[in-house]
Amino acid sequence: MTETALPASRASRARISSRAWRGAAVPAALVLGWLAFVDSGVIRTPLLVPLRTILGAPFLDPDGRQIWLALAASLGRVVAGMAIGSTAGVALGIALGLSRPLQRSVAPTLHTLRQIALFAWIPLLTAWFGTGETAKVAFISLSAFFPAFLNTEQGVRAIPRAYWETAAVLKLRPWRRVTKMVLPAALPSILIGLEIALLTAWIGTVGSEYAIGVGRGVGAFLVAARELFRMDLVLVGVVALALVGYAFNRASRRIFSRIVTWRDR
Amino acid sequence: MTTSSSVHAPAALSLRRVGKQYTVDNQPLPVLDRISLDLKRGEFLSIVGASGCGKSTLLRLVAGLDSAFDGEILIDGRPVAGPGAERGMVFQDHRLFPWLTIAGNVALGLDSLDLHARERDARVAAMLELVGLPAFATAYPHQLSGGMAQRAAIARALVSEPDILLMDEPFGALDSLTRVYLQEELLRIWSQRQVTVIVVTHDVEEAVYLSDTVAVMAPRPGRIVGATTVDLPRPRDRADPRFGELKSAILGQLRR
Repeated sequence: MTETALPASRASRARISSRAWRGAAVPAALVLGWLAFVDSGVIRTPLLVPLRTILGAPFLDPDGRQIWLALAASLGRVVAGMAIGSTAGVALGIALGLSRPLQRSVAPTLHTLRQIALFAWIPLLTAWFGTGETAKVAFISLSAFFPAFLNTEQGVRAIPRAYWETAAVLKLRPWRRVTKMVLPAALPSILIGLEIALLTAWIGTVGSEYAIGVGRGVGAFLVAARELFRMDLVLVGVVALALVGYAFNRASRRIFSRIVTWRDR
Repeated sequence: MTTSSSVHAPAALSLRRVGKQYTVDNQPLPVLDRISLDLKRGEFLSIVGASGCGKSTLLRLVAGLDSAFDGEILIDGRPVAGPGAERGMVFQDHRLFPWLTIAGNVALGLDSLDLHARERDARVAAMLELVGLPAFATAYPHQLSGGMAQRAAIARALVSEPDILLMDEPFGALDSLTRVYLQEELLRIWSQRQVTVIVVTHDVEEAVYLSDTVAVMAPRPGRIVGATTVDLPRPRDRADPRFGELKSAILGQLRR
């Protein structure tokens, strides 16, 4: 059993790594092209900055070094907003999935609110909470809330009737019914919701900092860099954004794939 | 009838003119028609019938999974209201939760009782012993064969020590060797536990092998068309001519 499993897993690992290399082909070509045309001086324009300047800026440039503080501020915010928004989303999704009357009275409102473009909330939130930390965290919570809520609600509603009947026949108490049946049964769907919520929370973080513009953060760093016409710093901000988003995605997939270990039937 | 039942011990389970109908295209569609049954405490009843005759629907009513019906279902004289710990249910598919161990699944059967953790664990362990799965307490359902999973489902249904065990085609999805083995197991458990059992099945031989009484249901609308007492001593011999006679008599009731 293990003798046959070993070469197979090695082969599949080789396949995965070759796929990963193919996925890296486009970014690699972009870097090479950048080096060949911009760094070499073939193209000279203030809009494009040599790669070495971009990579050096976070360490060598006094303004560029601000990116680290900005990054710390943004990460703090995304954690707070994600925690609030996704907790509320999962809780409400379960409550609505469990209670038909609650579903009928609350779901239409939530599904209508979801139609409002996320950034349209910013004027309202700044009017309510000012331009400080509260408005930003409220906005990030809102961006994390909807994916978490929608996927949880859908996951609970998709639980097969056989499970509900089993819970009924066993006379499970309400709390036990949630922890031993509803949550695990809806868990794959909830985790997908959390994965999307984390990414939208990150977009919401940078978006709120960019749109509200006061205080520290990667979004505010981008605004400041653009106003100073420091293209090197703008690109530093963009790279930081992308790397964090990529890291979130990889980390959440890796963690979540270890949570659901059982197999149906 | 009423006087005799007040003198003798009351039937553990009584169905009085139980009926049920669905509405299809605004037309009433009767699925169960005035079904009356009396089970003594510790009696083993099988209900046989073709698929679609309403036998599973009837069992769901007794289990308390469906409260929209006419007539009365009484347990020790009291009408059923929803599922209860005095009734255990085994479905055709084992319906174990795949995210819990076998012991965790069986322990769910005790959730409605207020037990200390130690007592609960002891009862789960004793139950796994009874169904022959003590080595699989920490295994997950997907690691078990179909027959083992069904034995775990029986343990989950019996762990709260119900008076009545309801089984909906419990061995229908198993291969014939496993099925015969589990029939013997079920009789062993039944004789040790003294529970009242209702098994719904389409297998007449299984019904004759297991039961004190075999009730035959006919479809559209579902109704009881015969009840045969099986007075052969246990363990029963399937090759016994009287076994064959009872079997063909019941098959005759089914064909009518």
